[in-house]
Parts: sequence; structure tokens; C-alpha cells
Amino acid sequence: MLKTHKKGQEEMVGFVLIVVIVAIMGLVFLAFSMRQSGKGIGGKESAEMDDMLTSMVYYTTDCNFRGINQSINDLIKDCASGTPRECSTDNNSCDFLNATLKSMLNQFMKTESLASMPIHAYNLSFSSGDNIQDLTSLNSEFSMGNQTGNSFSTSKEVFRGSNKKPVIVKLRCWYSKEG
Amino acid sequence: MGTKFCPKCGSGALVHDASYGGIMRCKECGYRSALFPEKFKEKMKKARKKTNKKGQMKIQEMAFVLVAVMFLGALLFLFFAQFQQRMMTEQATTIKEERVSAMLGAIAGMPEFGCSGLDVLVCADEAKLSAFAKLSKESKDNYAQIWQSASVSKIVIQEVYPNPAVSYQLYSDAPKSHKSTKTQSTFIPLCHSSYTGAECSIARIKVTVILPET
Repeated sequence: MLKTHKKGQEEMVGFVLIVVIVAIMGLVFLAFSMRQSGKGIGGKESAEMDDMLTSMVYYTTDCNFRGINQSINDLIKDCASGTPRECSTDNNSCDFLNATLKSMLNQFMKTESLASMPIHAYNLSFSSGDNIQDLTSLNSEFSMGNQTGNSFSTSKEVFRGSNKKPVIVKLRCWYSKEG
Repeated sequence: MGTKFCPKCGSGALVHDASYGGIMRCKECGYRSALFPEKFKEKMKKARKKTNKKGQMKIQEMAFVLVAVMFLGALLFLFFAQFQQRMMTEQATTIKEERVSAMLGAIAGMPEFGCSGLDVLVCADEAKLSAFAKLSKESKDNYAQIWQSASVSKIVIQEVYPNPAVSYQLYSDAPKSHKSTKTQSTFIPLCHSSYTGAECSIARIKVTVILPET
């Protein structure tokens, strides 16, 4: 009687052991699959933002010097020189730059997304290496929206000639994960 | 060895009778004989039957355990195979997405669409895009082979600033229906040449690809 009980108990322990091993294996597989699905924003989105800033810098404004419409790149150079030139419409390059960037970011806020994730805030800033005094005419920062949550940033250099440090344009976007 | 018993009273208590050599005597009834029947065969039969039954039970148990283990193994294999298949599909999708990301710039930079004379790496020429849109169906079909080989189902370049209404559709296999597609896009300058030089707006190039079926 005692022997039979012992044998039965041993078999039960074996069965429980098998069940535990199978459960552990299942959990390991589950953990693997969960880890795979939890991907966030990555290099592709960063490249998209980089392209966004490049396109912004090459955008041609209505500011006209000697019959040639100036790009944002040209306006940054002109505005950062300290003696902004007058565009054909009574405003100088800095005014045009500010107005265009504001309007541009405003439209991006309404319509654009980054890798199918809506952007809820922007920040565009200018700096010039360690010499910020150089950019007194340039409105050093444009902000829009609620700057909270996850963000991505990219920067681009605007060259101003051999004797001056380039202006660094930095764009930062805050995105929402629910797309 | 069988057990001898008395055929008269059925008792198994038999002893050797010392007065007669080789004769046995029943203790109960005193019956004497040189030969007594044995219960040998019956007992053996019973014992053999019992052993056979136990063996059969053990074989059955073993068979059940083997079937259970095989069933469990098959389940695990199925689960693993499904997991591997999903991983492979995901990898194929990722590779395809990466290819499309690289393709975005390559399409905009194609001599047929790209602008020249601007110090930006990738930009689209509005005049070329308009001309491409006006091409005959036969001419566009020559390009269709390129797009189809890369699983592309749609290519659109759309201005996002200042005028989002401007859009150029370079390719679309719209009549075909695909189970799963993914659209990837990026920003490019959309430029046109004027007598004062190139003037650019901001556009998005959107490429829709057919994803591998799961």
C-alpha cells in the first residue's frame, strides 16, 4: 500500500515537472515575441527629420534681392550678418525669415507627421558655435505647441564664409506615439 | 513446482509414509498413494494470466505516455514553427521598409525627376514631374517594370508648403488590390527653374510598397 502511494506520488511530481517546464518555455517564447513588437522611433524617422530640415533650408521665400528670390539659407546668412538687407516689400531679411518660419511650422503642426506619428510641438533654434553674440539680429528660437513627451532633433550648418563660424540650425520635434 | 493434494478430501497436508517407501499419506483422511494429483497447472495458468495482464497494462501506460509526449512535442514544434514564420515575415517586412527608405531618395534623384544645378543632394524638378505626368501610357509602362520589381504600388510627390494642393502621381497600380501595403515618405525640395534661378517649395515623396503576406 505504502509502495503504491510512493509510486503514485513520484509520477505526479514528474507530471508537475513537465507542466512547469512547458510553462517556462511558453513564457520564454512570449517574452521574445513581446520584445520584438515593442519597437519605437528609430533611424528612419531621424533621416526623415533631417530631410525635413534640409527642405526647409532650401525653401525659396518671396524676399527678393536684386530680382532674385532668396532661400531660407540665404536669409539666415543675411540676417546673421548683423546688417540685414531690405527685401523688395519693405521688410528686411530677418522679418521675412521670422514670418516664413512661423508660417511654415504652423502648417507643419496642422498637417505633418513623422513616420505616421503626429507632431504636437516644434522648436527651431539658431546658434553659431560658441559665439552667440554674432546672431543678435537673428531671432534665436521659434517654439510651437506643448513641448512634452518624446522628441527627436536634427541640425544643419549654414556656412557664412571663411572668416565666420557657420550658423547651426537645430530643429526639434515632439511626437505622439498614438498615430 | 505444483502443490499435491488428496483426491479424497482435497487436503494439501500430505506426508511421506515411513512404513511404505515412496508412498505418501493424507494427514486428514489417512489416504495413501504413490501418486497424488497436483494443482500445478491451474496455479501457473492463473499466475501467467495475471503477469500477462500486468504487462499489457504497462505497455498501454507506456504507449499513452509516448503518445502524450509526441503530442506535446508536436504542439511545441507547431508553436515554434509559427513563431519562426512570424519572425521571418517581420524580418522580410523590415528589409522591405529599409529598401523603400533608400528608394525614396533614389526615385527623387532619378534623372527623369531630379533637378540639377542645385547644391542639394536630392530634389525633384516640377517641370520634369509635369512632363512625366503627361507621358503616354506606353511610355509609363516602361517604368512600371522597375516599380513592380521593387514591389512598389504607388509613387506620389505632394507639395506640403506653401500649397498642399499640388500633387504629382508618378505611378499607381490602383486596379490591383493588395492585402497589406505600407506607405513611407520623406521630405524633399520641389524646385522649378526660373530666369532668376531655382525656386523651391517643400514636398513629400510617398512610396507605397506591397508587404509580404503573413
